Amino acid sequence: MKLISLFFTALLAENIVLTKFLGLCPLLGNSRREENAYKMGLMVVFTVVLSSLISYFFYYQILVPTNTTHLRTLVFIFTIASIVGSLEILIKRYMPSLYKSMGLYIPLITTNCAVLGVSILVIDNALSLVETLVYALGSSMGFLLVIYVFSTLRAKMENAPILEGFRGTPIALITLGIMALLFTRYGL
Amino acid sequence: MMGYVLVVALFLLATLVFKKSRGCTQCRGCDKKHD
Repeated sequence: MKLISLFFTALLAENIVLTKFLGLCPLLGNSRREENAYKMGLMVVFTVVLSSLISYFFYYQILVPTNTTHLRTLVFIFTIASIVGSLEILIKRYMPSLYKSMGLYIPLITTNCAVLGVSILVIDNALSLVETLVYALGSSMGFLLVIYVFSTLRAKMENAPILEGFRGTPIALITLGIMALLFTRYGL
Repeated sequence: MMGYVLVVALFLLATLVFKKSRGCTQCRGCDKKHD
């Protein structure tokens, strides 16, 4: 029951994008087309789950016993970079069409602060291994949910009668604000 | 000490993986061939 609650909290009430404002850059940059948005979301799910589990292992098996926990940010960043690089090699080899459509956005997952954020939040909240897996899944699927919903809204906004000064990023940020209000309502 | 070794090892791994995935470091995802 606690794990289910943790999953839905991470997914909705404490959505990593809408309550902690992590991962806004890829959200705004890669949500113009629905197809690219969900592909980016799926890649983030894969990266977040894998990186948080590996970071968890490195932290508790190597950094804590050797009393070098101050190196955790470096270890987490390099872990994420290695995973994203491997992901890019795999996509380039087995899904060339996806590689062509995503291009430079794949290595930019390394700089997605939501990925590093989940790894650090897992350690700060002293979660167990199973809780880490559930929290990473919930958070990353929360990112996927938000980026997909946001991309569909942006597609509708393309043809909506919006004042000239609000077109583009301003209306996107206002929409995100309203979405944040709706999502955090689940936590009340 | 192990922590520092881990950082260096991960740095080398990340560099190697990125070099392998992107090939030419001047490339920004274009299809042109570089020397």
